[in-house]
Amino acid sequence: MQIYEIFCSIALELLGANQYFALLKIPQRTPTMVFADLLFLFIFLPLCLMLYYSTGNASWRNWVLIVFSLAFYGWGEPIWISLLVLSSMIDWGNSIFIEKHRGTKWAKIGVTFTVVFNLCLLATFKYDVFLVNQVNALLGTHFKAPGYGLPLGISFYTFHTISYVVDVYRGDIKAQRNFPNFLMYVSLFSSLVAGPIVRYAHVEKEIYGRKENLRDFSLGVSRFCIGLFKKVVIANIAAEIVAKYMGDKQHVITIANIHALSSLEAWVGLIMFALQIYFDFSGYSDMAIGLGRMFGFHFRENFEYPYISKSISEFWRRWHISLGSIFRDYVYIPLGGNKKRVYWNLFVVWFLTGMWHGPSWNFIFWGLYFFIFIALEKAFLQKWLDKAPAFVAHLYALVIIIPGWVIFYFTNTQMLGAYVAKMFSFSGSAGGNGEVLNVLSTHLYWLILALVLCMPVYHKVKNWIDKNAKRVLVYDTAIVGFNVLLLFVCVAQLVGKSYNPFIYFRF
Amino acid sequence: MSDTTNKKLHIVNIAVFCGLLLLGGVASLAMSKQKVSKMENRTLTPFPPYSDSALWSGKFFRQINEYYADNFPLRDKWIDVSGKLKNSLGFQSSEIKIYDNVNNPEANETPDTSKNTLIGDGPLPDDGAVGEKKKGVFVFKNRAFEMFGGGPEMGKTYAGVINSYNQLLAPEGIQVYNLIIPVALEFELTEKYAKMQKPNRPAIENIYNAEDANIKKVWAIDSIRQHRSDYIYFNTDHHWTSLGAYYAYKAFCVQAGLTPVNIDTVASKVKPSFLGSLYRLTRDEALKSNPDSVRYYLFKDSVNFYIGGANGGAWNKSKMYSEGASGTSSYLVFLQGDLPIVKMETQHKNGRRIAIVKESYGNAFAPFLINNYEKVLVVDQRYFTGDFIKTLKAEGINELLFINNIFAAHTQFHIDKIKGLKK
Repeated sequence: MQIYEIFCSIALELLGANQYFALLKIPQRTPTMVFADLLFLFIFLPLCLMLYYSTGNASWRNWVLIVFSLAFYGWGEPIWISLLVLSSMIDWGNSIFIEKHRGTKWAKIGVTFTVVFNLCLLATFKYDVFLVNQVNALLGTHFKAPGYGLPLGISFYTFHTISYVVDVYRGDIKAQRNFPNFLMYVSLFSSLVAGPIVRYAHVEKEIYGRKENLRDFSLGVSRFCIGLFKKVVIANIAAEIVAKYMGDKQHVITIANIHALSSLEAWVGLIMFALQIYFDFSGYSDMAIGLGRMFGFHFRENFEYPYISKSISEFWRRWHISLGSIFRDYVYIPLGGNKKRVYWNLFVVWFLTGMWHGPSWNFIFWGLYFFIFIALEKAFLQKWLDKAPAFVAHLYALVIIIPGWVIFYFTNTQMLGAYVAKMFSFSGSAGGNGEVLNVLSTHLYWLILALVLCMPVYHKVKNWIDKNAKRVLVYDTAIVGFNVLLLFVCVAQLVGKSYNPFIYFRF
Repeated sequence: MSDTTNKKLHIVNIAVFCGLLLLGGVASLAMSKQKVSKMENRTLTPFPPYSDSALWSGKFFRQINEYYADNFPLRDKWIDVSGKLKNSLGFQSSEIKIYDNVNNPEANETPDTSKNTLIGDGPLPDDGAVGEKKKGVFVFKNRAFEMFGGGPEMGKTYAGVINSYNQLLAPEGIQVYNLIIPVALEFELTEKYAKMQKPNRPAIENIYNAEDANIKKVWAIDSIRQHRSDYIYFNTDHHWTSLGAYYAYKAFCVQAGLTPVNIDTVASKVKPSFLGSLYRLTRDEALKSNPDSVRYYLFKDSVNFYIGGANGGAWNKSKMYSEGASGTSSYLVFLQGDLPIVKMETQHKNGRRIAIVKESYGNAFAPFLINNYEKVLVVDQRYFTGDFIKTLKAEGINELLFINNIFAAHTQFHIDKIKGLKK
């Protein structure tokens, strides 16, 4: 045993692997390259667009995307590029293997390998501490988790590759023979870090030799600006208010702080979080879809105004659509879907959906919270809701969805309990509600805008304009100015964020 | 509409978008870079030096992002725009505004090492900023106020530390005093906003009640309250004016059995157009329109002023007022700012020698004492690292005043610093 260990350590040392593994343990921080960042907007993006459109050669264009995607990905923690490329390579080779042995047991072994391999990646890098803690709690053991930092976007790209390999196995798509093309699909910077989860089948024809055109580029620009605005102006400002009442990394709060809140403050914090997470996530998806379109890709929508849903089932058809469809196609339907053991299947899907969001019990509870209501809807509630007036159904959905976010927010169950108790105690606080009312009034116009943007108003206006052809010119011209305005506001906000006065610092 | 018009508009849209990004990009690379931001009182993030470890930990890239944002073209203008946008997000009451304590002055009353921790990379030294002492900045009647929210337990901890000095030094014949300075808002709150902060007097009472009976407690708050309509606190800065400090000094004289100097007979000078810390924090237009002036008194008695090293010893002769201080740094005129230790020697050979332990509020207060004491030793609780007790003995100190603003007296960082002076 000892000899074996010594041998292993010598081998690792020779390979320089020890340093490699040490690097893997660097704790994860927020990614430094995000779309809503000055460096991305003014250096990365224009450079990428320029090089991309410098020739018409399809291979060159894909290589530009690969290089920029890896740079984008590695900007935060370059070490994880190795994992991304390695895992892509394995799944790519495996898909060709599966295609070659289609219909034999080897194909089955191949697809099983990919699924197990990717789930192991997730288990090792995302769920290690969580799983080891559960095992220790159950068995009374004292195993120590390796404690790797969470690689950026791993939850997204493992799902990219699993869905791809399974689709190849099912014969829905052909395996991609060219590795750079496949790597481009997996690493594409627009959707690598925070989705949407782009299914290979949906972009198969666009991976090589796609037809970029002015219309797509221009619509992509407009879409990107809207997404940027949603993120920078709505989500970021909502986040400041959330931090005030619910705390965040920079503004750590304790249970005592929660006890000191008034119920109104607790509700305002939570509703702001509902706005923050929607605008953050859907804004990011908008930017991803817009960027994709600038390069000739057509990604599917990821959000369809989820807060106007009339049931929880509907909410999940409108919220993070790409994730829901993955679980539907690769878990729910293979388990038997609506045909057999429906409730068990739903349970599994919602357990996994919750777990996907993070390695902590609260996320699982959050998934199961939705399971309860979706199961109830399936059993009888949906029929009632169909008969009820629309506003009742809307109200029902919001009353379930918004308090649900509190489960999502607090990974610490004690804090969660205290916050929920505060919400429903309907009590005041020592300081009164003056401050929170002031927050609401000084953000009133912004709040109205945010609430309006939760509804498909813009969509309806656009449809109306589309029908009135004469006005199109005015509208389309206005869009150009509108984009400039959005960009201007966002840049001001992004620069403003760096304003950081130090009062006592002496030169 | 024809396809060609449509196409033209798409081209315009793309060209405008890409053109702006490109323009910004080229400008950001080409324009000259500043090293410091005067407005923010800090050095801007420099371009990071390359090292393997910085590269692999991601620190290298993070700093490039910070460098880029700190050096963005026309940054000051963008920040102005951003401030104006923030003010138009909702209904702005002409009466009040509240700013968060994202980066409040007290939290930054930490040694200069903070210059390495710009923009959230790594935590600031522990300062107890966790909702313990204040909630934010409150703008009211064109003035900015910090809101006090300190809890009684923290106040008792502070009292405990003062007691420990008393128990150590009273037997040696040193009289200990304590003076807690209230915050400006105490004197300005109308009934409507009464709940905006915790009332100061009960909090001060809580501290004084927990202190040993032989400690002399100075009720500066009552003395200041009698002059609440005077110019006792700044409009745009978190400090008090020298006039506010004077009323506290008068209350101190009652406890110390001294005759206060009559301020009306003392000549003074004024530093005009002072926009202080709370303006820099909020950049509120209302404050900009209401700038402060800093008055300092030129007492008749001559004084020898010495600056000591952070470890004590090595006295260098200097001047009590830093007359060069101006603009945003005008408050530094008093005692030349927050020096670790300074000493003032006067003609009053009356055998009374006092040491005062303070943060920046003490700077405006200490000069008054030269009218009554033979020697005044001023120690900044945050920066002095020498042997405090030994210094007291070496200088023949027989009175000791702990003078702190009410936030500091309810902040773990400051309490620990005072406690730490004893070693």
